[in-house]
Amino acid sequence: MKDDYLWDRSGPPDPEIARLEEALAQWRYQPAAGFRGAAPRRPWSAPGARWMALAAALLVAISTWLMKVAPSVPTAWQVARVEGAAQVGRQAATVSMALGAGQVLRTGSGAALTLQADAMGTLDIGPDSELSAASNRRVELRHGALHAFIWARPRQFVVNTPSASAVDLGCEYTVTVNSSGDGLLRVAMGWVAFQTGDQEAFIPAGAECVTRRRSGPGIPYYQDAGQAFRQSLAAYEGGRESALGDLLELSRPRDGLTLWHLLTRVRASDRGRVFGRFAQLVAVPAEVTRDAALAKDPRAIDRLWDALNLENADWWRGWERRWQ
Amino acid sequence: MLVASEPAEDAGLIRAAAAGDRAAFGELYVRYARMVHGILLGRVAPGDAEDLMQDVFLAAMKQLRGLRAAAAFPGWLKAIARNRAMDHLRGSRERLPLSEESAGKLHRSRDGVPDAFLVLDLVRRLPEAYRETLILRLVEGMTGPEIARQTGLTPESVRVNLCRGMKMLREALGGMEAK
Repeated sequence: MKDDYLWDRSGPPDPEIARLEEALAQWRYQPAAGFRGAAPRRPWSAPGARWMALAAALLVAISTWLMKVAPSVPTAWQVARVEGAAQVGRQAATVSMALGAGQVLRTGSGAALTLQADAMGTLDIGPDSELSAASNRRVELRHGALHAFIWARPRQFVVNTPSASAVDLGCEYTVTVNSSGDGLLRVAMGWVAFQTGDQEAFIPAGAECVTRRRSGPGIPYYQDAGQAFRQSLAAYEGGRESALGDLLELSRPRDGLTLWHLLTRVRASDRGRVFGRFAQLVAVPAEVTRDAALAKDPRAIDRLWDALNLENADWWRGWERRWQ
Repeated sequence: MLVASEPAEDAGLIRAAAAGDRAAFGELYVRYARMVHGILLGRVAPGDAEDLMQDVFLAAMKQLRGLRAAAAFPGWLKAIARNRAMDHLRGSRERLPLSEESAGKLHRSRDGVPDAFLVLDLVRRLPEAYRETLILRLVEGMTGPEIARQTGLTPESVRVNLCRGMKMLREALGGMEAK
């Protein structure tokens, strides 16, 4: 029949179809590249926790299976520098070695390694670290330290950690993850969004944010904030709600960033206090009413963000705003 | 090696996966990965399709208990993939062209192989039914019978989609060459 080759590849090949197949084969699903070794995104979510744990285990199982039947597909990440003992998969890391999708990179005590991908940026991996690349755009830092300098367009590169994903918004930053899966993200230049599920934190240059295995991204704060302010924030995030008073009292105008995040995270009964302090420190636009802010009206929250007058935040206009 | 799926065997896997059997879900992943990838590729950039696959399967795994009939699994999974692709496009608020050359003349290499970006772009401009079926056939390398089994369409529908879609694609390619 005339269309047999198109139907089931029986019969003589149609030359035009064969050429199209050849041209398009580059985008065919590749099993090894399809695996994502991502940590569960909402490990604390009560009904979701079990499923997420299953998902992680499942993906590891799939990865293992795939790696048995297919060689690891190289990503664009290549070793550009090695100091000390480091391994890519089971081999000693050497310069120019490519990191395969799903392959694990480990650095020993005192070791350091730099990965580079021409279209993405560079990643400096600190000692005692374990990292894998799911694709050119996504790596997973299981523990250790990673310093990223990314030149790809915003939102193209993501670092997964056991408790949150750091979405690059055009910048330079450091992520550390301890053996418990808790982490800290410090931004040196540009912006990073820390997210898991519908919980997000936006961290500008000069700020940092903790992430915890059980609760995901915390509230960002500037690194130059006072010690007492930081202690109050840590206490509040640790569950001591009485610390909120000190936290608000110690806030500076620059800490509007922290208060803006608190607005959407605190209990409804505390939201008025946070908004009140925010309004003392930041010039709230006239069209934003207290009621709208307390109701977390998306437009009001959006306008309050604008009132922070943060620099280089053009990416904000295209952000999904999951908290809405 | 990817495994071709048989409906009866899939039904058993789907029931087992819905009951929490991780290995069964892993097997479904392997069997349906090409179909999901092809659906995504019909809407988003190739690199994004890879990234979104995990989202689709995680969403499927979370919701699988709510699926009443195993026979509905292919269509249901297809819908999750389409929705995830649409969410992604809405989130990015832009639909990037596959290639800056997309609007240009059709380029072929010395062996007559056409420019892949342009071909994929032309396929993506076809009506949805033709687009998805052609991508599964030409990109993912699935045969018509495999496409029918995995998408839940009848073999007759798949055959019609392939023939009509291919005819439209040939016309579009011919039009580009004539430029």
